[in-house]
Amino acid sequence: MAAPVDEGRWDPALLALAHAVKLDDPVLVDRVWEPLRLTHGIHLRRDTGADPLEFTAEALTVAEGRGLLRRLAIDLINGDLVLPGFEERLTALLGAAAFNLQSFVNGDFTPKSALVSARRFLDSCDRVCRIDIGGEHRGTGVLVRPTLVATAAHVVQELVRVEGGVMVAVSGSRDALRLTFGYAEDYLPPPAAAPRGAAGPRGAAGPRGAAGLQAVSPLGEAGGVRAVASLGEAGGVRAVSLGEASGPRFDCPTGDRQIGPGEDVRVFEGEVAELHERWLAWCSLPTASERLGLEDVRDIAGITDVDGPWDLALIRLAQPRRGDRRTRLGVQPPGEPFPVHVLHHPGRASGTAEPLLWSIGRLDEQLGAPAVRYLHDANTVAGSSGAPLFDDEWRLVALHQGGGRTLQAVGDAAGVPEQARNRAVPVCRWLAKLDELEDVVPYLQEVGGPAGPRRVVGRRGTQERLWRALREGAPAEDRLLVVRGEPGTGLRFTKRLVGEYVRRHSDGVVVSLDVANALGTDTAGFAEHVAGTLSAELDVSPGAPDRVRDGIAPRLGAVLDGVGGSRAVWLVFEGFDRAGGRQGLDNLLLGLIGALPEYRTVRLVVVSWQQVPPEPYTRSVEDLKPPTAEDVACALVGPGGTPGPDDVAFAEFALGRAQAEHLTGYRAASRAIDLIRAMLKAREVA
Amino acid sequence: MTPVTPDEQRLVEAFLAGRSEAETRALVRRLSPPQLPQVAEDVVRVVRARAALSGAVAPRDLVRALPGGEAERVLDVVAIDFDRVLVGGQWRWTMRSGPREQTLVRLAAEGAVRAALAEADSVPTDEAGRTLRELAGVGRDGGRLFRRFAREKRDDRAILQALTWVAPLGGRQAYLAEARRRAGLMAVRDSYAALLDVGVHGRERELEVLREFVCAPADPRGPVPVLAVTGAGGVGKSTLLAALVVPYLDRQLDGEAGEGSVVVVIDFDREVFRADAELELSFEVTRQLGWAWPIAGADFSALRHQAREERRLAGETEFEAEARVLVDLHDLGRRTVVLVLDTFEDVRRDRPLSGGWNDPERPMMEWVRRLRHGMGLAGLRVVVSGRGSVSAVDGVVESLRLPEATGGSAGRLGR
Repeated sequence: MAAPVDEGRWDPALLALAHAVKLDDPVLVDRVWEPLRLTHGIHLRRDTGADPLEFTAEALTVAEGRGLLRRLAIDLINGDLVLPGFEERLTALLGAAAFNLQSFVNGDFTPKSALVSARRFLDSCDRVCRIDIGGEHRGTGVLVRPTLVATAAHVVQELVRVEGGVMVAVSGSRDALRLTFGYAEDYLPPPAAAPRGAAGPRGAAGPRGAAGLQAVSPLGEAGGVRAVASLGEAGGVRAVSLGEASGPRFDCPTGDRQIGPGEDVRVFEGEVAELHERWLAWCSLPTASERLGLEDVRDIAGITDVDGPWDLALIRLAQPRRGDRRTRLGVQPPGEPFPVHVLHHPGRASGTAEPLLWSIGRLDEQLGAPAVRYLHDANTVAGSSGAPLFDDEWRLVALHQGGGRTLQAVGDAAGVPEQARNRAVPVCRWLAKLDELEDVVPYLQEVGGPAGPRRVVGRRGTQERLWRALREGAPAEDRLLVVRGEPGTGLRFTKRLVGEYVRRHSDGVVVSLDVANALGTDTAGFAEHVAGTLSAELDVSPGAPDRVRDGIAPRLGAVLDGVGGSRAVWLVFEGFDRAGGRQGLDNLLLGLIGALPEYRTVRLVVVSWQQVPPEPYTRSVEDLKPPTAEDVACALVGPGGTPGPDDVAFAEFALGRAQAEHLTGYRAASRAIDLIRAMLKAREVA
Repeated sequence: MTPVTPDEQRLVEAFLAGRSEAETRALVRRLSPPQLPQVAEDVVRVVRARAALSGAVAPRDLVRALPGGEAERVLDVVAIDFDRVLVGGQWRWTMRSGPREQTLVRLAAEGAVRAALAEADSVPTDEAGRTLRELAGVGRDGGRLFRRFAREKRDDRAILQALTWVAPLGGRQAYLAEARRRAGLMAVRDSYAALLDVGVHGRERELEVLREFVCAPADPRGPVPVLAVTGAGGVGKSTLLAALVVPYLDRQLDGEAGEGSVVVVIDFDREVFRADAELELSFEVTRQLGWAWPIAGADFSALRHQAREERRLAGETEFEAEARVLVDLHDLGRRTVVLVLDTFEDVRRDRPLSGGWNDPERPMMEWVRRLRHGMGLAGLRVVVSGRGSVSAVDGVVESLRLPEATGGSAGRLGR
């Protein structure tokens, strides 16, 4: 039993708050705490605490000291990890928030779940980017797959040309093109009067939860989703007073700026996404009349539902974003008019872009049967091109293309309502292209974490398997990875590689066990350890300890499949080479593998296991090879790049030098990279 | 590194061609050695040494005496080197074998094992960890220690775990092999012994039939004797088998198999014994023969490793034929080997369409025949336990059907 918690150690208010946190679902707690602590360099780990309450109290204290308490609290609420009374206790600590979600009804919009909609809204904001060319703003884009951004082709048209009948990027275009996610403005409410005295228990001055950059937007706090993290953490942030900000800058009535004089407006500069070396994944230009300016927004001459053209460019990123959850697509929008939301970066007269804006309108006409263009009345201006149109469920239904500048009200008054429309390109028309292009595996060049960074050389095969296994609904054979290899092939690095890859590209949880540490227990005990790595309990009846197939394996499988909710649970087993052959462990693993089709959230990575997996899984085995010159050359090009023959030849030369020093495998590859760096450095100095 | 030949010079120039100075500078930056975390290296070394000379520990015991902030930082840095498991509401960290090996090798090279042991001694740990410290403390000569372990009837699994952990310090390989043998046998024995906790009642006649079958002389040129123990689920088949095999396993555990009979137990509850994986079954038979006759064990182990490699590289292996060489070499062919195939209904579950091409029993019985004629186990006899009857490939199958338990005996029968 855990030692009794010394409750006197904690601030009573924080301790009271800790008592209102659900402590019986530690994996979900990890889901909230781990991203927060890793992002903010907090060393407190849940798995070092002897008591969940003690951990929770300490985590809240740390968060409070760092000005992250509101953020943590909201994440806990959104994760359904709080008990009745939590919000009251939080309010007692922080005072009332300046922002309250409100619901309203009008003729066009049906009421929606406030928090769900807010969360989806913020999630959508996180996927929208500003597009600049040569330092000048051109348009808006939206992440449609983890490595693909969609925008209107006319936004990037100056960077592409036709070659051999296909669209290709012009030389140097990668350097000119710039995609910035999270470019948005936000504001902070005026500091509320500290409800509980001027200082916290550790002497933190000022209002709790509102310190520095961590006091994120009220919207962000309300949503408590990753969008906030991106907005808040991305790049720099500059604060300008409202007086400095240029009035209503959008050339249509906005009326949504509620900030009073003297309040700070913060502009989050956002994060520039690195582009893939071959950034243009696909392009379909607009029709000639679209390029030259439509006289009639309903003109769809020359557009077919099969071949378009679609005025669409798909831009490939070097590293995936938001691999945890795909952008939701509305591929079958209703035929009747429905509300749409446009998230966009309109341009300013100065050539710069507005921070992220939100326009609301209705998609009320579909052109063609099947539809090849939509008409909507959400307000946009130049620079909005390529912006996403979401439906009320925040599913992407179309990309904004362009349209007339006449305001609806003006159009109505003038008796030309039919022209007062913007055009958009339906998602459903180019969906197949997305599926065709998606599968570009993102390779890591370095893993990080508290233990320090480490270079990744090679291991492309493993990463390709991991990428396949990450997918929602991945088949069972893709969710088993058996990795073998001789010393020097990086076998022991597998655990860390898996952890980093999954963390970067998904919200899955990774736990690992060394089976050579399980020799002191039987199969049932080992199964309990496996569950214990996930802070879960496994009830294995001591009366029948040897029933693996009917008893231990299915019980463990059920725990693994349920412990993370919808989140993938990755189990990495290693150390078989030191375990000396444990029949019980083999049996248990084979039991789990046999039932993998049923355990849809479970991924198994088995390192150095010599058993032959059952028939459907024979392709799940990877035999590692020592790093090659091509692997070394991959380190010489940027993420997503492909080394050329000169790069490989140079790497081969360096690898040869390293091997001449009697190094092999990973040591040789690592030494080769050091040699290359030393030589380049020497030339640079010279 | 400077290029030394004109060819190499050309390689470098070709590599740099088309790269601007800025690009080259960026590349140099990217190739820079990763920055290590900002923690005191000597503190981390102490923590690692404590962990390498411990079993499962409370993480905060590893960093005691460190200030709170630094303790958390150090634990965060070294966490990746540990299995971290919540057991009974307490977090327990156990160092992984790779980092443990590196740490122990370093300590041995520096002659610092004893000092590290003294430093780690006050860190509470589990039985395997305490045994590890005892083993590390006596160096390579552990004879007296192992005799004490035997007297004290120390837990075999804890000894095996400790020996595995301490292996990087060198020596003790024979003890490790013996510990593995005992642990393997114990696992089988314990799974059956648990069924005997309340004794065997009302099955004296059936038990006698089994014992007579085991002891009856076998004709090495005749068919393999097979006895089928059948009955409904829960009638007590496995309990009956337990009464038969546990005494044999106890003798084997104490190294007293000698010239006597040995039992080899295969439970088809285990998925690893898939009906289409007779090779795995043969591996298991040789593993258990090695437990009974340890002198042959190392040879069988090497042969299994070789067979796995052959199977991996070539897709097939002649394991049974090659095992015969070892059977003959160690004169095992004339010994009585009782092969017990338990939960045989699971074989049928794998191949439910009994009969014809998918007959689940036929490959099993052919495999049994190969053990006799291919591997050379002339003294082989087989007890098959399952819910239905069994037909032999050749010869006759004796049958022992257990009736439904009634009255007071019903409650005492297990599986």
